[in-house]
Amino acid sequence: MKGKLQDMAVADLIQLTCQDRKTARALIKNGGERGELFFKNGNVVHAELGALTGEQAVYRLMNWDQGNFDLTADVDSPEITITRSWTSLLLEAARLADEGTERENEEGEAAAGAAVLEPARGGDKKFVEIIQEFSVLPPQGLLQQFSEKIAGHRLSCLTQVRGTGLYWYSTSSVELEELMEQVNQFVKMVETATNKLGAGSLQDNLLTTEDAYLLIRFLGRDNYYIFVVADKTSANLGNLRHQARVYTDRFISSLKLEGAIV
Amino acid sequence: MLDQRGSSSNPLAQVLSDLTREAQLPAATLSSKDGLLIASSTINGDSPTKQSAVVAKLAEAANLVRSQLTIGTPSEFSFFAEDGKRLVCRPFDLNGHEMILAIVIPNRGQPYRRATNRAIARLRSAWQPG
Repeated sequence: MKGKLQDMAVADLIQLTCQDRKTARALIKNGGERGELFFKNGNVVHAELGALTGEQAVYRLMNWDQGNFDLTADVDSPEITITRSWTSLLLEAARLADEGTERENEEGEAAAGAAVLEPARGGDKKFVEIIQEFSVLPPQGLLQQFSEKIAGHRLSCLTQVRGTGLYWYSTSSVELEELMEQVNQFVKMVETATNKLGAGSLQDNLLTTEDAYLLIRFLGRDNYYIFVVADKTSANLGNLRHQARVYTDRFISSLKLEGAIV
Repeated sequence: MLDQRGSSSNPLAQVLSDLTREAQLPAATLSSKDGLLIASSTINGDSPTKQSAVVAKLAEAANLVRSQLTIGTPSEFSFFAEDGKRLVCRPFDLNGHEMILAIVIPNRGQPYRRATNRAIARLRSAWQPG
């Protein structure tokens, strides 16, 4: 994959590559400078930019808002210089950018020697959005954020098989109580079927009809699951399943914060 | 009924045998919407009768959900296990009879739609109630 930093910021590139759990190398060029990011199974494990390596190279690269990148899959990193998770890396970058902004405001000029920590500019509006996205929202807010990422979205619910702890978000009117009763019966039936067929642990269940996709994704904690309905004509099935997978851990974190699960 | 890959005098079972061989699937069953096993082809010792009954119950429950949502007739429902295996069920009309073709897909990303479309067309040709 190739592109311009004007179209996809470095933070975006990190997010997409890590969410897809890729092992890859991103070569990033800006004028005469060139940097490299190495990903392994969905985390940034090494970066180089001139004399800088590791996290410092990442933070510096994230300030670039001009240039090109070239992502090559299945390239192993020559070394491991970064051990924190990619989300932690982005949050730390945001913190450093904030500190840099404060210092700049106080001193009226860029702080000497703060080249690595200088505040994000230009394309970093997107970067701020990504950071905001990774702040853990309450379940209802998270469900809405998740729903808004799905083209053709009609309805989504986060609930337990027992029918308790219901959060829902819908773009059309629906008889929720009766619907969830049927959905819960279906989920119980799926569990029974899985046991009878010895199919092991079930990840998700997809029902395709003439005009809609209906996806049930199990969170694997306290019988919680998410249930999504989207229009078949406008939804992208791959994206629907991808978003459900990506949001599974976020829903668990959100439910933990809410005290709904331990 | 054909319980292992090979020849059969049952033309429906032969279609399933061809499907499992061509698409490299461990199991395929054809059952009525009530769970009556019509034909099967398995190589792994799974009970096609049990699979058929379970699939019919799932189809029934799925139908109740979709009727609440008024989202049209189900054309497929799939169950994805964490190890990448999938059970795919395709309800279809077999010359006036509501049937379900169920297959087990062993590997993540393994294609199956073209093979099952072809099998459904062949089942319709081979179907001779009597």
